Amino acid sequence: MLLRMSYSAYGDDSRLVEGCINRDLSCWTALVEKYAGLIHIAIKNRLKKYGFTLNDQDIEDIKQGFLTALWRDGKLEGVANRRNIAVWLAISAGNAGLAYVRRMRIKEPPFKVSIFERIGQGELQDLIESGYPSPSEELSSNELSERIDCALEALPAGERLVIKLNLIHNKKYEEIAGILKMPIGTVSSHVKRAREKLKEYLKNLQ
Amino acid sequence: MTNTKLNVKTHPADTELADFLDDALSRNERHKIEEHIASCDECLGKIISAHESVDLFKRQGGSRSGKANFMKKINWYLVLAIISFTLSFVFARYFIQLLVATLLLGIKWIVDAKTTKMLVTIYDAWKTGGEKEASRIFKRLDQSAIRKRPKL
Repeated sequence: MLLRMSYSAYGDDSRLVEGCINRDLSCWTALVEKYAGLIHIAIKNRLKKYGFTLNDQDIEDIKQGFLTALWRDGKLEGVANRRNIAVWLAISAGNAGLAYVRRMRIKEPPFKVSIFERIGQGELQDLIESGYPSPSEELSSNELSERIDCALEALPAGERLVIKLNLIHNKKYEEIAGILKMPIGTVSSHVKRAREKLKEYLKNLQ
Repeated sequence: MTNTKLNVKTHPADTELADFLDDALSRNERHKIEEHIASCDECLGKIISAHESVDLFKRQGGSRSGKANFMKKINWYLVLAIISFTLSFVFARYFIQLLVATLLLGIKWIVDAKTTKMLVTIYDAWKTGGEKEASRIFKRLDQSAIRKRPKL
């Protein structure tokens, strides 16, 4: 059950982190051994989200640079929740990946402006219903994208967050419940309500 | 990530985003982050990416334990080097070939060793942080060596 997904399945990191802060090399080696795989995955995943696909050697270089900076700058000292640093490491490693591509001036892939790339065609048809002009006929995908963004902005924050995760990031109810730490039933009702509101909003725009 | 809205006040710190995903925030703090990520695609992207990465890492076996960890700890290059060295005496006909294989496996073992990787880290620190940083690391190494040395 992913309802209450726990990230602390790797044991308490407190002593490991304390050791690393005190520059204990055995703790440092243990930390690298424990989380090297996660750091690699996190860099790759975050860059992929931005459309960058770097080879494994580049990812390893970024990882080495990240670990060196972690050691040199004592970044672990700023981590308040030291019991489990997996998520913080994943976020920071992802940032390091993005910093690398910016530093190396690797050309950013074009933005996926097409609404069909952000929301599946089937989902979109369901939202805009049959009466709404198809994008190929009267609306450019950019215009439709803007309208959907406006409709999303009009939703209350909670519903907007859930529907974004569901529609744009293709997350299932279980995953959303895991990320937002809420019961699946609440996720389901948020999605239903948000869909109805979106449909209504888009209908009124016709 | 597309459509990053920058009209959202200040971005929360990465530690706060991590705490959000770890469910380590108070209800009020949690609500604030929810409000923020509902409008900020950049921070939402960070959270989703971290969630996916940790999830994938976990599914791949994470930091491994038990048998997997034991197998990982065995240095196969060293084992093969020893086998090759032993065999070089058993099969005198292939003495040179097996000795060369021992040498190559030995080099691979040294390159792969943790201490070598640590030296690379120290070298990196020296390159970026200067001699001061490197000497600080060496000093720490000396101190830990002294601590480990048995008393006479």
